[in-house]
This record gives sequence, structure tokens and C-alpha cells, in this order.
Amino acid sequence: MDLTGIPQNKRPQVKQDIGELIVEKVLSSVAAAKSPVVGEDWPKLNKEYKAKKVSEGFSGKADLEESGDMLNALATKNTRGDNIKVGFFGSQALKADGHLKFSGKQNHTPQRRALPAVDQQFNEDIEQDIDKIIQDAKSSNFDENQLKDITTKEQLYDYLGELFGDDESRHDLRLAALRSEEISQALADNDLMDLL
Amino acid sequence: MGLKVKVSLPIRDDVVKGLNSVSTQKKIGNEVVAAIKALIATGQSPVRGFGRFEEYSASRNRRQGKASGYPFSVQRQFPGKKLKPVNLFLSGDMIDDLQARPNGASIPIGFSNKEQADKAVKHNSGDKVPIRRILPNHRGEEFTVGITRLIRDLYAEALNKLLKK
Repeated sequence: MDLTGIPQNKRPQVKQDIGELIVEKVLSSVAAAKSPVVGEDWPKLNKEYKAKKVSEGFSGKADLEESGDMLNALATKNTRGDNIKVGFFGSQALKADGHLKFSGKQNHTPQRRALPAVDQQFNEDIEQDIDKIIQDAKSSNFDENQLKDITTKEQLYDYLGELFGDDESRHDLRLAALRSEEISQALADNDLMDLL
Repeated sequence: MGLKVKVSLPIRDDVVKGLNSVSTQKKIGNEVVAAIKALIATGQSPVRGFGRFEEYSASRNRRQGKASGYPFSVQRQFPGKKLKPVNLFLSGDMIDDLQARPNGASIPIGFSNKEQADKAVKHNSGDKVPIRRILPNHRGEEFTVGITRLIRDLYAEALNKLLKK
């Protein structure tokens, strides 16, 4: 993860927020029998297994739910540096690999990737939310004094680009500024809202 | 030595009025309620730190080889009710009653029908059932990261739309 621009003392919380968001979104996706990973299929249950699950009181969806132990083990762990770990830890890791197939070992279950492999990505919805968490953390670098000499739209967006990232679109910079109460109020105080 | 005062101006009056209008708040409130309900439907608490809801008693009994407990006990009347996900949904009356009721000053979210509110309180507080938190109504609690993100996004988008006028 690129946390450049985020003060060091804010990074642990940003990492925790991102980890929790991923867990929440992955569980939601799996409950809908969909992969949260770009390009991944999510095969339906075969007829016999579906009938078995339904007879036992479960839904007929491929939602990776039976005892619940595996999904309960999906968790986030902070690591050193700017990385986090999200995975199925402990005794459930082997069971999860039976679905994710990161190890390459084959079994009788189809691949259902609830997490991306090293060369894969989460879907756009999750990636965008992660980007927004990182952007919002950068707003703590905001310095109202930087607004004093701003008189044009270009100057304002140049500053917002320095704050949130030069590669962000003006639309995204605008929304990032508006998500911050401090920045919104400062823009209003300095009569710069109309330049946004 | 100079003397400087700063006068804090509010964001344009029409923008503040627009943000506090019942129609804007209703739109935001409805989207937040939809997200809360969607999360509950997946078996997750909308309250940060509470994760997935505890399993129903039939799941616990199943581990011991018994086919009894809730929701088996209600499946004759509600054949669609399954062991998983744990979604606080039986007739749907309680979940349907969860609404946003904006009043201009704020956007209260909760249950207005007494019977449904009593059911919700039982789940939220763990009264005779396992605790399954529905709303962050205790001091220091907040919604999950995903729902909090949505609220911030909705406000930013509403503000953006009003500023463009």
C-alpha cells in the first residue's frame, strides 16, 4: 500500500480501517455468492451438494457457509511498514485454501477466490474505498495558511493535488476536499468555495 | 504590530439550507438505512467491532449432532428461514420498521413501532438472545468502516451538488 503523504502517527489507524473495510466487503460479497476479485468466477453449487445443503437447513447458494468457522476466521492483521494482512488465519487457513487455491493444491471443490492472489486485485468498489480512506487521511496535512494566496481555480486545484495526489482527477480532488469538514470550512472562511 | 481578526463565514446560506433540507436528509438517510439492512442481510453487524452475528441455536446444536433449535423451530411457519446467514429476518416486520426519519436538524435512524423496537432492543442488548448489535447507540460506538465511508461520501456528494447550483 502506498501511504506516502500520511503522517506516521496516522498510519496504524489507516491500516486498521482498510483491513476492516476489506473484511466487511469480502464477507458481503461472499454472502451474495460473488467473488470480490476482478476476473474471478464463482461457480454455483453442484446439484447434489446444493440439495444436501438445503436439506440441512442452509440456502442453496455457494456462500462458503456451513459451520461458519472459516468465515469467522477472516481477519485483518497489521504488519510492519505500510502493509496489512487480510486472510484466514489459524486452523481455518487450510480449509480456506481449499476454496482459494493459493497453494496450487487441487481438491474436489471448485476455485472460489474470496481474496485476490498476489497478481490479482479486488473489484473497483473495494479499491475505490481503499483509495478514499488513504486520501482522507492525507487531509490531516492540510494547512489553511496555504489558502491565503490562492485566487484562481488552477491554484486551488494545484494545492489540492499536492495534498491528495497529483494523479487524482479534479472531480476526485473536489470530493476529497468536501469530505473533510476542516477543509470545507476553511474554503468557506477564505471565500474559495466558488473556485471548487 | 498588526491586528487581525478572522470572521468565520458559514458556507453559503443556500448550501447550508440545502444540506439541512428534509429532502436531502431523506435521500442520505434512506441510503444509509439501505446499507445497514444490506449488511445485516449478510450476517454482519453494522456496529464497528462486532463482526459477524453469532450463529443461531440450531447451528450450535448441529455441532453436537442434534437437529433442533432456532430456526428449525419456526421453519414450518417460515419455510424460507435458513440456518445461515444470521440476518435477523423472519417475517421482515422488524427490519422493515428500521427507517431514517430526518427532521432538518439531524437524521435519526431507528425503529418507531413499539413491538418492532422492543424486538430490536432485545437483539441489540442480548436480552434472552445472543447480542446481535443493530445500531451503534452506546457511547463511543460507530458504524462499520464501510457504512461510515458511505455517510461521508453521501454528504460530500450532496454538498458538491448544492455548490454546483
